Amino acid sequence: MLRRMICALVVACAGASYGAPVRTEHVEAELVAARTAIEAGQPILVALRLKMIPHWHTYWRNPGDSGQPTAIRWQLPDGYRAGPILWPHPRRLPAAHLMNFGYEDEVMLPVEIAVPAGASGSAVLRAQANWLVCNEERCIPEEAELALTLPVGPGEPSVWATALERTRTTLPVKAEALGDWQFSAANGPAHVELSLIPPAGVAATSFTYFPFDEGKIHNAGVQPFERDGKGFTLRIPKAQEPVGAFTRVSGLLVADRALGDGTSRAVEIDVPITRAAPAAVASALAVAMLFAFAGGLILNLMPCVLPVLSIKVLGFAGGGGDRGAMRLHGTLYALGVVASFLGFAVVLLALKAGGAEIGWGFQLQSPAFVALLAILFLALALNLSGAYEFGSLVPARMAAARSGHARTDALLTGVLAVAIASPCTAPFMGAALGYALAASALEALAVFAALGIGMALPYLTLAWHPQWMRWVPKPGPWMVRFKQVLAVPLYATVLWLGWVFTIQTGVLPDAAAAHARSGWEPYSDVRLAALAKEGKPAFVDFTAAWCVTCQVSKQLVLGRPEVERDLRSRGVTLLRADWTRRDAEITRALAALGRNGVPVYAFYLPGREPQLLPEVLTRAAILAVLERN
Amino acid sequence: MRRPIHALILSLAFAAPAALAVTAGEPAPDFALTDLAGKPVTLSNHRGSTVVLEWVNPECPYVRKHYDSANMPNLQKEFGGRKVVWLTVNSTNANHPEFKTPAQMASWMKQKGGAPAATLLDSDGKVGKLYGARTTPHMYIVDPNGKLVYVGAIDDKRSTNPEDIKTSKNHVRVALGEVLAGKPVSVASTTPYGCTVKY
Repeated sequence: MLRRMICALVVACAGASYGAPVRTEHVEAELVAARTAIEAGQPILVALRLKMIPHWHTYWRNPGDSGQPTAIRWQLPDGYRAGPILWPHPRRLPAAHLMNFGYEDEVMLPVEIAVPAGASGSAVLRAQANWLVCNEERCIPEEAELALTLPVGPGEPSVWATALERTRTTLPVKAEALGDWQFSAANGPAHVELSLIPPAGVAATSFTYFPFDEGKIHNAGVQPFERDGKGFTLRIPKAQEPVGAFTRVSGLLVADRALGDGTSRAVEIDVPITRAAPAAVASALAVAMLFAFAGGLILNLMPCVLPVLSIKVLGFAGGGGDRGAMRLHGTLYALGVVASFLGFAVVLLALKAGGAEIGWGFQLQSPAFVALLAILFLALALNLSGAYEFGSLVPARMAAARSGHARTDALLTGVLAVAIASPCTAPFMGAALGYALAASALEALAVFAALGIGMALPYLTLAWHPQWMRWVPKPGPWMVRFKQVLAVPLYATVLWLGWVFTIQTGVLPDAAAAHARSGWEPYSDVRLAALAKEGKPAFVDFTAAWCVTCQVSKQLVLGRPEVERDLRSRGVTLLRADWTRRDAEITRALAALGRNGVPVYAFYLPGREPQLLPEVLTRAAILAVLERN
Repeated sequence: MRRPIHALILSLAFAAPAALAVTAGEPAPDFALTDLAGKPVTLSNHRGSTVVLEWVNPECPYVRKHYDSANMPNLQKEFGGRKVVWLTVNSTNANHPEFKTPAQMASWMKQKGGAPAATLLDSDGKVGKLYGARTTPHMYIVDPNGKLVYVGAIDDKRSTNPEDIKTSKNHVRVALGEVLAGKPVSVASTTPYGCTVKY
């Protein structure tokens, strides 16, 4: 039997506080009080102090995937009553792919004991304490009989006063006590999304959730934490084997720093998950759709969309004065955009349902698709340069047929614009898409539709209110030159697609060779896990050759020697996850971060949740994370 | 549409080290392991019978509670007599100090009076991870149709004290009784308790 029963004999000594630590194989245990005496009628704080030998831990009230919370059974004099254990906030303690919640080194488990008004003489506070103490290899249940004798009367702070005061700063406080927080929680298929806006003065930059109840969350899962407008969003992975319904986010939020002046790092929260209430779903959906809409608008300005839209502008400019045709044209373009977003969503949902590990931008991971696109663009560019005319291919007498072509053309321009936009995961869009893919099929379709509407709206507006086209230059001889100028970005796009194609097909030295030269290592789960084990920080650049935003960040930020120096001088290992080709490992790593598109820039700090940087990367953002940690 | 996804994810779980879990109400994924004599055992061979999967580690104090008190061996005998196939699985990693060789497992089981249909070694942890086994003990019940009907703890008293067995509700006994009586399982999932599986 590994069970050990060690009992301390305690002699009550009137006039002096007296207790004795009990030593087991792994723990030193004792009862300690903040003061040297008890005052009649005044509650006193007594703590069970557990000092573990190095690398061994005991458990929090929810022990996580295994383990057992420490328990105290009190035997108190008449009229004395012990309250519950006031649990300090725990730490995450990983064990292989599992996660426990508990304490290493030393922990004080305070209990408030009510003292009767008529107390006199001295009091013997007895407790039987049980705990499970574990390291990564073994678990031992231990117990001890403990006693603390305190005189009743005037006292002074004991030798434990400072330590107990320090313990107070590890005790969670009610969130309301720190000011006005705003919380809401929404239910997704894999995550519960907790949105929070802390009160002013709370300067925390990350929070980790520790649930009071077991069986609700995936304990070992990453909890991505992101700034989201005025507040933050914490994505809490749900249990894969849930026990009971997950209806409330009830537990602790532990921040990376003190939440106020000398106060705790942990707040206690109890937030209902309001998916059942249709209004809440609608609002979560509305927010996602709004983000998607904004993302769609911004897509118009993305370098990989602009060339196509330029053609579109040219279409208006060349459309003459026929209002009806213009409106039809604009409407068809909008329909083309929205329809292809929806079509894309349907395909994505079907593939997702089939379990294929894919993500936004995946169609550009196919070399055949890239080659086709390059040829199409080359054709368009040659057309713009005046190498040939579409019109000359159609006899003048087929006027009716031409109008039919114009419609098809408008629709196709919309479709084309979407096909090209896919690699530009603009700011906001990542989050909206993540939401859409994690949500139900209908919600996903709604979000994709919003994205399409956002993208199509500026042109639809122009088509219906041609008076606003006053700012668009009038047709004239300049058009020929303008057309030729517009061909330039198209040629650039062709070159870029060609470059993507050569990387995908391995014609040119591929990414791995480039990594070796640049001092970036290729990403692998194994390498990342090894760094985490060594306690070394890592920065991962999730990128792809076909992702323009990624390439811009690479040129303007990550490729700059001073940025590389910033990172390397702080011992950060640089990993590049190149998603140019389909890669299941990288897809999974992205999914673990709640993303399915690139760019994603993630700091993996030892013992901490990964921190995501904005998609529009700046040196300042990188430095901010480095300075915080 | 859910089933093919599930099957696909599970087949991925075999290929990838990532841990996935299974839930009561879902089909129990098939697996193949060898028993202590080196004989192959698959779950699908027992289709048509009620199957219990019990995760075990002889060094774990929680397992000792249920074996030293004969609680687990008695359950194995009781339900073995009622045509339930009881498979005890040890997923302790071969490099872990608590790893037991087949011979050690066999002599321990004999000494404790255990009577599972088979004791299976899963020293690479594949099946443990496939089922999301987190603790020893961690209990699973598969009905004759191959559906998981119970996932969770052995009973409702999280402790290492054998005295608690008398006053606890044994979830596995209750669920097995219901399955054998053709009734739906009243408590299909609970939080397992015990030591971490030593993957």
